[in-house]
Amino acid sequence: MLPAHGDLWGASVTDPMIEVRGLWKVYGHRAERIVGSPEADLPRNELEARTGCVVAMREVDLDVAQGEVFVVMGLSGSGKSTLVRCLTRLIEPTAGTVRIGGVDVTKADDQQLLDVRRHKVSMVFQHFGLLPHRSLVDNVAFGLELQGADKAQRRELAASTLELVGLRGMGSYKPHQLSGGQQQRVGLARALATNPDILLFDEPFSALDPLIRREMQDEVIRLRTEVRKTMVFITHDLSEALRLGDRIAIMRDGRFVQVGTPAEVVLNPADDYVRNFVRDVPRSHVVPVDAIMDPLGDGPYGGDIAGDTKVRDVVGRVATTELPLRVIDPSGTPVGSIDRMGVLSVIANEDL
Amino acid sequence: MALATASGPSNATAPTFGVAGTRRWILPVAAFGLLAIVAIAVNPNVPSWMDIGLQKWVRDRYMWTVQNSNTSWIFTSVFNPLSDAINWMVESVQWILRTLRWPGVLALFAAIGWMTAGIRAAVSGGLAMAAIAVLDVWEPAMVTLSIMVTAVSIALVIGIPLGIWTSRSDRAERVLRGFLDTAQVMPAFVYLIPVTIFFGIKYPPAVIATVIYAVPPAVRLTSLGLRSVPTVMNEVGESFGCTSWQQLLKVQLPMARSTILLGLNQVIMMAFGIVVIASLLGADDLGNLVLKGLQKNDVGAAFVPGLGIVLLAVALDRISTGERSTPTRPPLIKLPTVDRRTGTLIALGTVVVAAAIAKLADVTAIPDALTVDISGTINDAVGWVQDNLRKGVPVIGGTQAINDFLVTDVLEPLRKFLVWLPWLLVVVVVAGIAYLSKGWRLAVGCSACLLLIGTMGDIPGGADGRTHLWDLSMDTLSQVLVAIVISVAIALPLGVWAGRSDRAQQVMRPFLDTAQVMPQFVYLIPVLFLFGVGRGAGVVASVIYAIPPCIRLTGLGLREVPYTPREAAISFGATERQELVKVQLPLAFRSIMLGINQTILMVLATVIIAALVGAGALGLVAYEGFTKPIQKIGQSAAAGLSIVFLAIVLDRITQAWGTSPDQQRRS
Amino acid sequence: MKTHRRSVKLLAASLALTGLLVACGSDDEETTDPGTEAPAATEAPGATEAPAEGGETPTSGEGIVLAVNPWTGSAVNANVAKVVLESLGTPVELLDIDENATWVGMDDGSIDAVLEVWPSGHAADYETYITGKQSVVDLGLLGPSAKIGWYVPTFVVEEHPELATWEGFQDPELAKLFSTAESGDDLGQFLMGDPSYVTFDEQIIANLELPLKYVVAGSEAGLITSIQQSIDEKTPLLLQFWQPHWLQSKVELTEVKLPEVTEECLASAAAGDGGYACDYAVDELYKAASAGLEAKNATAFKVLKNLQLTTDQQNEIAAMIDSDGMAPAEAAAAWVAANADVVAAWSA
Repeated sequence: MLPAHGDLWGASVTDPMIEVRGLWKVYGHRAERIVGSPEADLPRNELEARTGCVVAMREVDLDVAQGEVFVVMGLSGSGKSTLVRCLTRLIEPTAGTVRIGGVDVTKADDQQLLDVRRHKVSMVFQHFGLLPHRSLVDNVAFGLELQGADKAQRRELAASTLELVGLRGMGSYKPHQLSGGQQQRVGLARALATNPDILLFDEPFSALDPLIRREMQDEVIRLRTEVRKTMVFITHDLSEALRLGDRIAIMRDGRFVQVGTPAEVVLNPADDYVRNFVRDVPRSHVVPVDAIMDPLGDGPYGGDIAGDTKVRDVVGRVATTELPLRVIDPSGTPVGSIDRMGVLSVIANEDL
Repeated sequence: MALATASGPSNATAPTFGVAGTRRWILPVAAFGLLAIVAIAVNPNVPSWMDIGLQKWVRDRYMWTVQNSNTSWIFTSVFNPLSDAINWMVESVQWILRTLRWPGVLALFAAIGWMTAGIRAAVSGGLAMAAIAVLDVWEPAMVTLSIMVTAVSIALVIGIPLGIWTSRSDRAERVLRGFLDTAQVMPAFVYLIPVTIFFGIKYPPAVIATVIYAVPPAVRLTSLGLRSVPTVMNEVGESFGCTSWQQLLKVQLPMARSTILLGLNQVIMMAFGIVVIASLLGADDLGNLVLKGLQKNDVGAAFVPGLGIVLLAVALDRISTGERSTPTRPPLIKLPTVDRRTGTLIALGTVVVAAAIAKLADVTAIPDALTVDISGTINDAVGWVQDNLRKGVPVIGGTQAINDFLVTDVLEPLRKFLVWLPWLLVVVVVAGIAYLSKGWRLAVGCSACLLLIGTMGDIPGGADGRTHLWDLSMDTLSQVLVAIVISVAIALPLGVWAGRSDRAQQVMRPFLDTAQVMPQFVYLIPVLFLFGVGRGAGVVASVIYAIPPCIRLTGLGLREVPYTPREAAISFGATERQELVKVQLPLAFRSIMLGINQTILMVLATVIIAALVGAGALGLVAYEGFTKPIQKIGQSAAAGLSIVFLAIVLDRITQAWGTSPDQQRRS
Repeated sequence: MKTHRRSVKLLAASLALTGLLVACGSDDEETTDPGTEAPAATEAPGATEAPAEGGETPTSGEGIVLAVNPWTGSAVNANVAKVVLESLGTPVELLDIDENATWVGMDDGSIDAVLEVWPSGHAADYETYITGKQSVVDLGLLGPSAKIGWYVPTFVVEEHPELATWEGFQDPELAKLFSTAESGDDLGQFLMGDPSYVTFDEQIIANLELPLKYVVAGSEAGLITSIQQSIDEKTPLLLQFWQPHWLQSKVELTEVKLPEVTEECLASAAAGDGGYACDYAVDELYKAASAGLEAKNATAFKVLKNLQLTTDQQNEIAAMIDSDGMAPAEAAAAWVAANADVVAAWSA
């Protein structure tokens, strides 16, 4: 089961919703010969000069659990958009396998592939990808239309989905009459309308104003907590990644540099590249108390606090009491303690 | 209306459905209904008092011109010097081409191609010219080239400033538009003889006729290019303190360059479209050879110079607009890159060397050993087609059967119906269509055009001794409509294919180039043979000429659809077919409509060619102005104007279809 | 208002600019503009052939331009004249040109003469340019006569001898033999060809009350194709055609007898009252020259005025071109060499 190369960055989930093994994308003539060859490790320019090929993504392994938000973060050209497109074969991978909900997408025939795209996975695009000639309702109903739903049914469903994203009563508008934020709400509604298991987001908010972006991020957080969709979220914005992701993969030159929880990434950067990235992130914003807690002592305690609470959110609590706080896990069992000094040390080291 | 959204209300208004909308329909419906009733109630035929006497007026002007052509100052001090200047330009170009000799000219084409568009253009431009040499039509091809170069230069010198002007003034655009339409659609045969009186024979009138035909695309595309320069670029210019003049030179013209180059390409294509007609006036060019072949009923003999014209057009096209076709494959041979100055020097040096070698070796004519005569092969092929496609083809029965069906079951009933309709009813119905397509303004404009046809008067001939131009217009309209429907039915699927397959596009390109530029005189005989004299042959001749732009623009439109919505559709599980029907075609709608619009203008521009194979109607009357100018110039002008009016009506209505349904702004 | 004025200024300026652009661009574009052609100008006209325009100084050897209209007979006459005149020291340029443009060319002197005019098609030109404006002069008859008429392929009269005269076409059943998609099923089709020829066919059909539909083929090519197809497939065809024509020697056509030409008929044609109901009159082919020719080159004027060919002579040369595939210039030279006596009389 485990791949021989043992690179298990992403593969740490049992019974994953999305399971990716050894995924490659190489552009160019006879691209498949590059996969796994020594040439693949050449610098980009040299490889292109020698073979005419460009490696966009190399040897990606990845598991995403049911209900998890998995964020892929990287700068432009890092291969993150290629990755998300390979999942449903919008871009044909050069090598490797992708399994979605148990179906091997890379081996699927046309009909199976359509089925995956129509029922299991929906995508939200950076530039919205709305059809300008259709009204909002018909845009949202697009996926249902492709599924073969009848007109009345799909319109009703689309209208209620529009309502869900806050565009009630605007169903007869055309996309160009909307602001960018509103358009992306339509894009989101379109993705939700088919009630897929998995949502893919390709830098969906990067074209939006900061305020609107935040609003939309809240929308995604709401989706995660309310409907527990599995999501793969592509972004180049670290704060967005930290805010949304259960786990984050940092991508560079087509490969995963590090995969881990926001705290892991910020506290233990795998290399200088990642370190540079996370340098300015206030630790207290990402570090949960259970990551820095002391062992459970004898007490007394000034109160209980959930283990996943971020350090900055306990500042107020420790300021009002001399006593340490008891940390409890989701089941209510006490697992450790944290005091004022522990919190202050995190905050004090932030600028290092 | 509840617009409660977190991100604030949009200030756009929703389309109005429901009660308020219905009420708005009552007035127009009542108005058009009433008009229709009035139209049926009054005289079903055009009343004679409507004749504004245009025919006599034109003929009187013409006769005045004939009488005074050697004495009036307007000739001696305006047109004669102008004519001499044009003649001097043509002969100078010929002198240059002759001095370079054919090796030098080949090198020149390759050099220009290399400088403007790289090695591929250089090779294809050079090869096309070499093929002309091989076909043994070099000398006449150089005459044609000299006329083209002169005419295209003049067309640009006139067209680009006019384009700049119209891009800056809506008023200028409105005023010019009518003239441009007229120049493009008015059959050249109407003004060919008058132009000869003004400019003499041989090259000058040929150049003038070509310029008239070629100026409109230069104006239109320059204006389009300048108008589509993004506002922000103008703001950049202004913010740095550009004067209006600097703005034009440093910002707008460079940014509009590709559109203007496309205009150049269209100018060249249009110019070639008229080259044979211009050679009726005495130019010893390729067109003259085509006419001689036609005169002998020798298709092969007409085809060879016709092919020469196509090759010349292809060569000029490739070297002048190569920029648009950036190669996708890596180049076979990597040439060392040189800077522009060195490149120019190398290119010019090659030309000079080639010409010098040719002079030293005294190369004048193309060696006979290198030439090929393909006219016999062509005649065999044409013979086979004529023998095998006319009759006895399984299922469809052959071209004769198609012709009989077209004429008996489609064209004649349609013509009878249109002629039978009370003329004002036609006006009202067309106005109604125009209103639905765009609004009152268009309705008024279209009815005005049709009413103007009513003022054109009548001509001798026909069952009653006199035939009104209205009836002939309806005859022409019936043929034009059928030709348009057939053209679109053929062109759309081919365009879709070309838009989705690079290979299909590559295969089609030479055929489209040929269909667009090959003089129609070349294929008149096979068409006549296959379809017989009459309207069927006319429709076919129009269709061949009219489908390339529709195929091209449909393909282009599909290719220009942004990828994001297509990808979105695929990601939601659209099949290839669904993606085409639900995304690509609707998003390419404007471009496709533009293609259909171009097809319509092309069909109308060939009305006169259709008349040469027996389609009669307006085209024939217009043509008679060329064959019997003194008697018939007036009615010829009236028929030509009627064609223009029909064209304007069809053009404006279809253009409205292309823009009105949605402002297809891209998100 | 201000922007308006600015746009006018811009227009003027950009006009100038475009001229400049073309001038500068000519290094890498086709050279067309005055700037770079300045050196060409001094040589160009001299390097090319004799100028087409007539000069002002009359000398006997000055070159002339003869029009060649698009049929073999016209090429025959012009080439024969060229051979003869050049032997007398007058360079001759032959110009392939349309008939109507020919008259305009003679009017302004850019064409010196045309040697075969079919009078029926050019009555208005005669009246305007020769009688009226007197910018063109009549050079007298060429010799051969021509005739327009109604023709059927000969096999038609072999099968239906009554169709040799117009009366045969009164029979609707026989007329229907000639029906096509264009004429409909009830009428026979009468095909008229090139609109530049004189036509009374529509009047003849109406006035003789024949069950025929008048259809215009629009071009000579249309006629010829129809004739060849008719003969190949033995489908009857009735059309306006004429003699001489190169096709007459290749296929068998029979002229349909129409009512005799009468004074009344000719009067009707002159008056244009629509009452024409008889055969076409015989066309006596004539020559015409620009009024300036005699002053410009008296010798050429005299030769062209005297030039005459019989129908047989013209056919003989035409056959060398059409049947034997000789170039018109070669055929003319060969014939002139063999008929020195005939030719000598023209310049005497």
